[in-house]
Amino acid sequence: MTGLREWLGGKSGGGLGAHTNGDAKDVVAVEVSNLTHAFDRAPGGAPVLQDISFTAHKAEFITLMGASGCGKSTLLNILGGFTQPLEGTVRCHGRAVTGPGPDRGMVFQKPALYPWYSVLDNVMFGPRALGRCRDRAGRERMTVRARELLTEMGLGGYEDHRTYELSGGMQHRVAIARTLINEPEVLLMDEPFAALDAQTRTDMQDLLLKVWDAHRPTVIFVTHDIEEGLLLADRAVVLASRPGRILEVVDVPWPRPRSFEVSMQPEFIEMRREVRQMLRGGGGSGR
Amino acid sequence: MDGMTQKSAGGSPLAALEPGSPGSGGGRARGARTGGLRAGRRRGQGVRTSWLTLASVVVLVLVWWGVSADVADPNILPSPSATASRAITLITSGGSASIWPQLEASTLRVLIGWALGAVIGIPIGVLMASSTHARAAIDPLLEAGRAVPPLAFAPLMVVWLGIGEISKIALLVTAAAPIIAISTTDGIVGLDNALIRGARTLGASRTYLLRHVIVPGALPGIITGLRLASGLTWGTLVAAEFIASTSGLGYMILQASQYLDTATIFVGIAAIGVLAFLMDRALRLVERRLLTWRGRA
Repeated sequence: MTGLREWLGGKSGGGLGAHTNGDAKDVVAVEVSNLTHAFDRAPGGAPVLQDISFTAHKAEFITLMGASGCGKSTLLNILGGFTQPLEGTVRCHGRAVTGPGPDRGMVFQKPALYPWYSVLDNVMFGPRALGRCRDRAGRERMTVRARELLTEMGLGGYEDHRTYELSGGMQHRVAIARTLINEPEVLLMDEPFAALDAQTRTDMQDLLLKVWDAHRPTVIFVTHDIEEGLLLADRAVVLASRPGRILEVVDVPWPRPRSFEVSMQPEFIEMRREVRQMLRGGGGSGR
Repeated sequence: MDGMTQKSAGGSPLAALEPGSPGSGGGRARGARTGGLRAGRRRGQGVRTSWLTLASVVVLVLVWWGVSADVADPNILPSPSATASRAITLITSGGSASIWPQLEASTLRVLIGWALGAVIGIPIGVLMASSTHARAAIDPLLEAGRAVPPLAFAPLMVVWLGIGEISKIALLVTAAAPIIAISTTDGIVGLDNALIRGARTLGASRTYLLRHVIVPGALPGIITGLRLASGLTWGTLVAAEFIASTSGLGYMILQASQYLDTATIFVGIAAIGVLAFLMDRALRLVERRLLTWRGRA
């Protein structure tokens, strides 16, 4: 573990300063302070999350990594506003999170598309729900935007398809386009590629890196896959299990734009090994 | 379907909107299948099954023919030909001997009772799905009431509502509403939680969520409820029309039984069966039109 710290320290100059992109990194997008949560609210109930604090800056890509059961999905649900934490606060651009909202777009493990709508109508769900399509001009603008996003996702020509006619990977692309069109301040992703086959997952990671470079949203991405977590992240938050707590916040120094090739580099493989050991030491069973 | 169990345990996906509920649930398989192959297979099966249906009807009529030839007394079992000629008489003759006014009266009662059952049942179903408290209060009553044969309620309806149309319609509503409410609740509770959560993070208000996610998502359940209710309503019809009636297929059957006119009883029974079948087919057609996505998402 010390090896990793030294190595990272040498490369990034220590601290959280390893950001290679030039956006306004000083703006805090998400601030999690002293978060503790337990499903059993009785005193003495085993905590799921214990004293979690971290910040995500604007346009930063954060991954939350840990073994299953470390509470990373619970943490994301708290950020999404679906779960109220027992203790601690979550702020998004200064506002306390009290419930789900379009400022925090969420992508789930399943694409969760609406099968009664076409692909285009699925992407238009957000703009319509937010009342951006009430007048003709707005409707046209949002439709153009939806088509652009679908094209960017490699789904040009599929606008009028039914969602169930698409493959799993394509459905996920629709799900990402559907979230991006709302231009959320923070994009929350809950193991979105975990159920995909290896090839599709790699394609989706590459696509996500590309899309992120183009839009630069703040992303908080949950994964149990160390390689995925390091490949995508500016900073990777490593969580231990039972109770879920932060072991380490790892700066991932590779310059962007990145691609899958990064994961072939010996330094990357070494970093992966270090994180795995970190997780083993932390009581989890990371892979 | 681990997602289903998780959802039923948690109450409802509407309740899951509230903060504090774990899990994202979900049980539907990601189905990305080519529609062509499926449709083709379905068409092929359709041809084969319609032959089977025809064969089963033919076998039934043949057995009936054989048995009625052994039973000499047509008052006990009229032959298929005697029943058919009675049917023709009832269809073609006018005035009080015609079956048409009875068909009309019965169909109207069923449609009104069934529609009112839907108007009452669907909101109750939505209510039960959206509140665990409402569900705890209403569900046992519905389940218990549903098990009581409608004929047992008939005297009560007469005592409360008299012998007119209202008591008959009320009895039909009693038959239709519970199953529609229960199916609606199941349809909503069975909805993939991620669909609802997704809508919330996309900015859907509660009303938008209800209109564009929950109702369309629960539509398969609601339509199944409507189909079951259609069968139950036709099944309750005779009981309703035994209440001091002067019209309807139930009345026709009751009258015929008093004159030991078994052939007319048979025609009445067959008419109820055919009408119930046609209504179910019509609902299935609506279902197929409306829910092309069913089972594929």
